[in-house]
Amino acid sequence: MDRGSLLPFQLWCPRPFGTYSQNQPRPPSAALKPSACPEPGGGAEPDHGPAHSENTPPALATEVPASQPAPLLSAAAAGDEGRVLLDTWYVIKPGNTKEKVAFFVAHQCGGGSRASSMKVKGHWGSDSSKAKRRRRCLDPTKAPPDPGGREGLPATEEGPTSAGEDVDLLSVAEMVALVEQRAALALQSYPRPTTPAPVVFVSAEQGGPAKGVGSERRSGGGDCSRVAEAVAHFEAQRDSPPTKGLRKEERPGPGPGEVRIAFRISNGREPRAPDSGLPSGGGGRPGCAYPGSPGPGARAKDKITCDLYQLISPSRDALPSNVEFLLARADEASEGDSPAPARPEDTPPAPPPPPARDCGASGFHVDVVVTGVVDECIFFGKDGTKNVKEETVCLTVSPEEPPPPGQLFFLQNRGPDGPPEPPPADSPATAPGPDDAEGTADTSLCRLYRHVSHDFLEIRFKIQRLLEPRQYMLLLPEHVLVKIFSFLPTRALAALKCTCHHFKGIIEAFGVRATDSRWSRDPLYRDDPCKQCRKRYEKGDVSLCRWHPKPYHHDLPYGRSYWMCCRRADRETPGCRLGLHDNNWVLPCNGPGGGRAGREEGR
Amino acid sequence: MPSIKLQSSGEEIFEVDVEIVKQSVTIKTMLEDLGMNDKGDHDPVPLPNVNAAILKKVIQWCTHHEDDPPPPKVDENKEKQTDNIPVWYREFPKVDQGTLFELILAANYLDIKGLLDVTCKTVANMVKRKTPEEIHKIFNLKNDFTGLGREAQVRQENQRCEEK
Repeated sequence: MDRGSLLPFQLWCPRPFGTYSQNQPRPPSAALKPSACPEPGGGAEPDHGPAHSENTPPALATEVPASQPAPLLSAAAAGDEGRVLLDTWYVIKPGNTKEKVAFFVAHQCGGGSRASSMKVKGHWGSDSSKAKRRRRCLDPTKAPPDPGGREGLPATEEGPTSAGEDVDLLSVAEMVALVEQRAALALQSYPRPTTPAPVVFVSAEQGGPAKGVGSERRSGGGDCSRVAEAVAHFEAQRDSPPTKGLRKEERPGPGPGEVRIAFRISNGREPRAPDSGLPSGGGGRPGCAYPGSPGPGARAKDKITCDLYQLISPSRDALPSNVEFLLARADEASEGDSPAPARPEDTPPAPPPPPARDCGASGFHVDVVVTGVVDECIFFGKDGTKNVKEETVCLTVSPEEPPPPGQLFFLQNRGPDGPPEPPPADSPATAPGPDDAEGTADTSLCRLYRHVSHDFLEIRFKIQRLLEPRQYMLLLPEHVLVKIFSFLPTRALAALKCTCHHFKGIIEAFGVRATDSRWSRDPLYRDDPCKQCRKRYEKGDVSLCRWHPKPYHHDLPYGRSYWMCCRRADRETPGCRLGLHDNNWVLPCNGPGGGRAGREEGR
Repeated sequence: MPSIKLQSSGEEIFEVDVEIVKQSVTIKTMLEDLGMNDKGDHDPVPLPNVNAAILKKVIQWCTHHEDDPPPPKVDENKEKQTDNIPVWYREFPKVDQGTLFELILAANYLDIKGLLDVTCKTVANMVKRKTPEEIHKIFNLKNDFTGLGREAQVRQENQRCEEK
């Protein structure tokens, strides 16, 4: 196996466990014994599966086609005992500290029920030495694990005693060998599941900290890797109680916020039915089916990343890298499990089926690890994400568009088929939901207004009214206004008439005359038009021409007599202009020009 | 000199000489109607439309013009002039717009002609040589002419007023 072909595994858990196997897949063998380590009873297979060693590779179904690609590492190598390892592998050499820790944890967390199936990995005596462990491994008294086909395995493969009460400890090398063997066998004999059960490969075992990934896989006590489970359980207990949505123990698969140790999203793994044993194993490992990986090459296509954003993207992309999609499939596949509550932001309601891989496997193998509260807050904290999303309303993302980087949980609706994010209407009161629902284009400004209380708005309105200057002019009685207007000249009155209808109406109704008006107020001439422009005075008329003075001209003794407008001779003048109007009427008889003026005026 | 008590809208009582307050035709008529001309101790005359501050200024004005003779009948045109206000009269109404209009209302209510003329001329002086927009701004008025057509018509009608 070309290690380089494998995608880099990124673990959240600083204590990875498991081994990285480079072994070639072993041919399927009907005589595969589920237990890599001899059971106390001589390798008798338990009901749930023969393998009791946590490092015992899953009993691979014999019907696994030989065309199975090279074995791939699987953290969830559902051995015969149904135990699987997390699909995070490290090259653990004997004496490796990590291994020690993992083994220690597994050992500690195994409990009594694990005693029978626990494969004690190594001897942890303080005085243990490598040599000692190796000696133990090579102890002929201990039945080497014989899953049926381990000829190639070194003697160090001596698996842990899987006797229920046997606490024989296996050496690290033995554990590694066992795991590798199981992985190989599982890959070879991984059956094509009939049910799209999510492939979860760390399942709880018999009362153990069963709540690893895929706890549901432990049907019938499907045993998975004790190490994996132990570590997972340990971490879960260590970190915090399962938060909302983080019911690792109960989730069939990696649910929202579920704590994992490592994560790798891969498609093409056939989920194993809980009850379906390994294809190769006689008893199989119900619930903990080792995924028939298409091989390292195919696995290279699997999405392995620490970018949970990307993984948990609510995108409707049906690519295998979409963990949501995969999870949804897992949820669909899980039968007896409580349906993974759709992560508010993530899980799509009905993702399309994943593309089949070469091996024809379906489903996916999920080892999603979300550690701690941080992840939860980031990805699954409903309140937080909701609020955050709602605060950034301005973002609009079409269902087809991938969420912008870092904006995964700030996005609104992703479309009708979007992930089951709580629709804006369902959002908490902190956010104006309906508008969010309506408008991805809703602006934060609008939202801001909505956040303002009614009392505040009312008080602010009252204050504004108090601070606004009052319209005193409109509060005055009409006769007072007429009095005021009567002090104004023609231009001021003209401006007031253009100010508002109220003033215009008062001026016209009361016939306010400008102070500089020249219209004769003599009732006798009230209806006389201007001789110049032929206009008659109207109430409120402040036009220039209209208030021309109307002098009376008469040519005595027998000349014409008429009222005149002004002295201007220009007939085309629309009227005497303000300021140019000559009001010094000179009677014809008052000056030398009077007669001439009289004649001119007569025109 | 007999005095009379005037009660403002805030129930504040001002005791003023009767002769001073008789400049107010309203109060004078009231006193005559109630037979309170010469009697000293009477109930305060309520003035619900005048608050204490404005009543105080009215009393101040009336006190200042207590000895003024009645204004002669002047030419109407001359009476319409607004630039012939005495200095004191010009300084007196130099208050904020709210107080000014309150004085106008008080003068109108109390029927004090001199005070009403002075205050109205003061307002007229505020309107003179102002454009409609400036009038809007000064008096916080709203242009309720709908559309440009209406205003344009009005302006056109009065356009000649602005021609030179």
